[in-house]
Amino acid sequence: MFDIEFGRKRDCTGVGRREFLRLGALGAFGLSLPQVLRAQAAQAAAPDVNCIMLWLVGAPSHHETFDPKPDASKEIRGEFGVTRAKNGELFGELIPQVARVSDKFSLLRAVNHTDGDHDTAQFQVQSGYPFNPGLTYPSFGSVVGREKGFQAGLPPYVLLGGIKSEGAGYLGDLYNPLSITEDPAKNGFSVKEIRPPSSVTEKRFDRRQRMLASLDRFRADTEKRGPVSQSLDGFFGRAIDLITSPAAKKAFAISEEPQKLRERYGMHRLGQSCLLARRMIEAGVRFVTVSNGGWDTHADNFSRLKNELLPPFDQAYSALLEDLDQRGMLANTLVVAFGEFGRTPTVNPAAGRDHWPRVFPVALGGGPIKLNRVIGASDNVGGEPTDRPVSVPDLSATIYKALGVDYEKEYLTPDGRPLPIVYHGQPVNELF
Amino acid sequence: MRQFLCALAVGAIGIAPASAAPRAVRPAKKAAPAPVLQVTPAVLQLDGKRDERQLLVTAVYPDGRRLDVTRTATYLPPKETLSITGGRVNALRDGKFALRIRYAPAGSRTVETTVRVEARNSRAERQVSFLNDVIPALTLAGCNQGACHGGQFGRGGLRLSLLGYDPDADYTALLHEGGGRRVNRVSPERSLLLLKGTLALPHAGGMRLSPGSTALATLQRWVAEGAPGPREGEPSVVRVAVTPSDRLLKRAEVQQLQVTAHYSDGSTRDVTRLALYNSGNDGVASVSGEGLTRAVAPGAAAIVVRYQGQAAVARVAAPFARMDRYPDLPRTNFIDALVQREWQRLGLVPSVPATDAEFLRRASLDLTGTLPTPEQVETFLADCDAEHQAGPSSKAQGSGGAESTGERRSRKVLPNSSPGPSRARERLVDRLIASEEWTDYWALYFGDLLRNTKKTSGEKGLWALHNWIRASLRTGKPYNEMVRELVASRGSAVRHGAANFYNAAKTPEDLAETTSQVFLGVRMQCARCHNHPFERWTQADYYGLAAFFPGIKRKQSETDLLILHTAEGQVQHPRTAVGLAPTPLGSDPVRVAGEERPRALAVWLADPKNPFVARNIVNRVWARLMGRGLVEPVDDVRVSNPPTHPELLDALTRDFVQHNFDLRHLMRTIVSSRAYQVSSRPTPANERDDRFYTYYRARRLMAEPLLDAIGQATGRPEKFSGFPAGYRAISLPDPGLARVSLLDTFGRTARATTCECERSNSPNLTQTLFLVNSDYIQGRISDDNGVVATLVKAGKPDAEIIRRLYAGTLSRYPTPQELAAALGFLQEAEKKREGFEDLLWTLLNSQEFLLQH
Repeated sequence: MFDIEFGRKRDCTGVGRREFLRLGALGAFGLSLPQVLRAQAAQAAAPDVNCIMLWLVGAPSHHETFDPKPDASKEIRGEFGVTRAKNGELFGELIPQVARVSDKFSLLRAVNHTDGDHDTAQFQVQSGYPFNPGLTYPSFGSVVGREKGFQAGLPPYVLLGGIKSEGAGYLGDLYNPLSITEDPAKNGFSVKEIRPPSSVTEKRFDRRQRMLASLDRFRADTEKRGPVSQSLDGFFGRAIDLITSPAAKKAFAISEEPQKLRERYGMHRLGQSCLLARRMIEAGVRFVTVSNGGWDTHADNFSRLKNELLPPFDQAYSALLEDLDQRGMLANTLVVAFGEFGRTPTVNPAAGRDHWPRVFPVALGGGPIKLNRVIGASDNVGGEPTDRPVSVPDLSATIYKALGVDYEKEYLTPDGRPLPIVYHGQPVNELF
Repeated sequence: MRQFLCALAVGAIGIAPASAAPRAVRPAKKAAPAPVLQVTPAVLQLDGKRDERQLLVTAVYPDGRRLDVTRTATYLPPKETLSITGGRVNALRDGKFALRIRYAPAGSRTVETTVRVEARNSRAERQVSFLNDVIPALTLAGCNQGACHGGQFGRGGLRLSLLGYDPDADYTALLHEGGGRRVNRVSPERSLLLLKGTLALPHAGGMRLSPGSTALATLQRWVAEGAPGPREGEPSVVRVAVTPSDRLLKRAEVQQLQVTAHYSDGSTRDVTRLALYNSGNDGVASVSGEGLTRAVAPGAAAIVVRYQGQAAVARVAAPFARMDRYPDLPRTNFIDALVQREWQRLGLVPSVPATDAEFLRRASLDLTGTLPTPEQVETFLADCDAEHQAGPSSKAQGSGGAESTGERRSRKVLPNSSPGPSRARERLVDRLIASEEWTDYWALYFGDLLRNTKKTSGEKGLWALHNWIRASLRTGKPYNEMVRELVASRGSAVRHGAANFYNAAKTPEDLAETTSQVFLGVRMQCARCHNHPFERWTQADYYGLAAFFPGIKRKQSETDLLILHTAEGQVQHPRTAVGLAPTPLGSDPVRVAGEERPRALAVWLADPKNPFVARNIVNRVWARLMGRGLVEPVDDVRVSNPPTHPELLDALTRDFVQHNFDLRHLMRTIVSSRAYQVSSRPTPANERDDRFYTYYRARRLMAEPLLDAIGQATGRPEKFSGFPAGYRAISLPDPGLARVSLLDTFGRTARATTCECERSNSPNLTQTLFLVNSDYIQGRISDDNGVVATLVKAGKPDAEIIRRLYAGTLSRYPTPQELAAALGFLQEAEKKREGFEDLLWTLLNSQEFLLQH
């Protein structure tokens, strides 16, 4: 309690970042803290909503996760059974923990598009625009970064998980994610780059910065050296912010989390990345993408889902929702879990499922999104939307609306064309 | 706008309706000179009921200014003879008519001209051709585009070939698949094709055939005529032409385009309304579906016109500024003449010339990937000084003023001396391109391009190809000879390094794509699965090229790999399954013995008359030195991606071929030009230019040169494990062998693709963090044997050390202000050595160091 008071005194807008983190760490120990934190979150007048995106690269099968068809024939329903989720819906039997926390998100079951190629579909789903070889549209995280900016010295958009994701496109390099390639599940995980070398004292580091400000004549002249000069300048400023930010150092110190909680998330890359994502949001990051690969199950769909893919996902995703909820953070953290498309209704001869963009589910909850809803449906083989289809631009508009981003705002492309953040998309208003 | 002009037009001839806005009739200050009307074509021949021809009407003013008035002119045909909309003319009856065209410009008198029109068969309905009418209608309606039924899997069960490249398959799909309901010959109006396209039935693709559209009318007629299929021997489109092909517009000015298709039987047809239009640069010029282009902003854009697998381009440009008198700019060679011509046309003025120190750093990095040493800085600047003091040489005349003069240590700048090409610079360039570093740096370039890796060629093969590249460059082997050897090589891949060309790509398809992209600059990947959507290349072209390679075999022994050219194997067309004769791109099939196939290709590639090879390498080298290709991307040559300076590319190519494909000559020619030797600092007048070379395009140092530059500037070069000390990153046979994270962070290539774009030079946060914080940088700065420690130990004066650190990083000396500031910071440091280390850190983190500028 002392910490909270101390925090208030230091920063009249609420709890100071550093203190907030300390509380975050304590939260898992103390019984009363979750309530305290929830009260803290509720105090904020209009919660600024941040986002954690579980980006399931390769496209998970909807049949084995959020949209099983137990009554269909064997070659469609596949090898697994179903489980009754808390919200009354049927989920695949291999995500029982997610089923238990199904009241902490909602499902859009009839998202669809027409692009069956991974690269271009990933691009489309992340940017809201169909792939265009001539112009790269910005992805969610980059737009959020551009709209919300840096906070507490932390970059707005961080990518965890070690798989490349879509970036800033025409918004420019400055809005690309900071990619953390180290695996937080590994012992001794640390992000060395954010600390000056040990031999460089704070005083000296400060002097270096002043020297650079005084001597780098190109920097003084940034506007005059074209886009590359501007991006270098931008990155330098961001780097210094990040290095000097106590919040950043703290955020990366995942070992400060109680072991029990770490184990609840799962001692694998996906689990620890989700936990790290929560810490980064607490520290001030706006948008964290946790990428997770291997979902392209053209062959051995069932054994791979059962043995490699679903258990970590089940564990990490459910733990993240539970943990955020317990801390009162779900109120201002949108969690989205999805891939670039679904997979074919019919199991192929290699016991796999192929690409299927015509209908697939997206799970999202947190922030202003109403929880525990299921919107839309697919037909009895999971092949086509039968109710409330949601287009990719609609999905984008929904996510941006939840994050408080004006999705009709127009950006100028480098060649001077005005383009809206979302083109021809309407948010799914049933979720608000 | 259109209404406004019409009102004016009418007003000028004295029959202004009362409704004409008073504002519109502006009193002319003085009568402007009247234009002359020019009409293309001058004689119009119409043949057939549906023949429709686009007229272009241009008002040409005495000062040479041209204004497209196609849509604002008044057309006065004899009664009931012709129907005219937007300048498109269609005959209502046969005969010879005089079509009067009238235009009333604001502020001068009305002008008129007459066009002769001959109409024949104006009531004769021609049978609808599946190939030449139905496919264009489907294309125009968007049915067969990649995002719809033209996609790999089609949509909703209907799959059409992409933009109609396979009419037979499309006919089958429409007539025989889908339960035969797509086209209903008995009740044409019940054809799904029409019902869905018009949204009479639900269609996920929405309304494609709007009522009254040409596409709908054509399809309706076709179905009504019994939906005939493609006919044997029907003429096909061999070429399309667009008029005008090059046009300078003012901002917001429009120009109607006119498009003619030329058929295999020699006939032509106006397809202005049927062609697809795209702007290569929407921000500069837009284009409507009817071929009306509009200048939006200053710059140049290619308007790409596509019809039936053929493409043509209209270049549209809008000036940045209007300049009544253009300054007389000095020139070194033909490059300047041609670059300046565009500047003049577009009202662009270049930045000031680069200083001597800037030129030294730039040329050293561009030609050798190597930073000049402090000694070289001193020698070169002294050399320049001597020349400037001896008086301006005949070649050193310049128009711009010198920039900051901090580089010129202990000397006054002669008031009239201006930097620019000089004998000292020529001597520098000669030294650079003769150096071992030149060979290293360009061997790195060709190693990337040829994808030379240990993974594909093994340790011995890697070195063999690397050594072959180096030897070829060092000895000045003509580039076409290099290409010939690569493709013709056979036998031991250890002894004949060039034979490892056949390791990076192995299948006939990969080899076709590699040969095409790397040597010709043509991306053929699309044509693997379908005819190229933006280019004339077909699947037959693709597999005709692949047909040179099925006989390539590899025989691995314990110590060697043998590349064999055998007579085995044949390549078939994937659709027709016909065996294809080896055929060079855009050329005739080659008849040779099976084992001679690759050699025949090599001969074609190396021929000085080859239309691609010299052009492509010239463009690639230009892009490396100038920061942007004349064709960009450098390996995507196609009609629909035209060069920014076509004559310049031609001239450079000619010069390169005339000089026996000599890469050194090519590079010397480019860096000698004033266009190359211009400052990297844009001016307010040219900062919006991104492709006309009015200022040198600053760019981040590439990964390998940056690693070397850091090593050289700190006095602690990287030591690569497995290589002798002193081995530099640019000399590595495969930079992928070096386990140095800096190279990854700064975007080295894995040599996995044939695209130059695999190498990334864009900055990011991780790079900055590395430079600011890493132990790697700190370790080198503070090393006991590093440059700072050595200079401090030697007891050099502070100012001397500072100058030395500047010369070693920025290739110039500090200005008096910089020197004073640096000395001031030095006083703050507890230990002097740390102060110098901090200065070195500052210099390494400065943009002036990180950029090639």
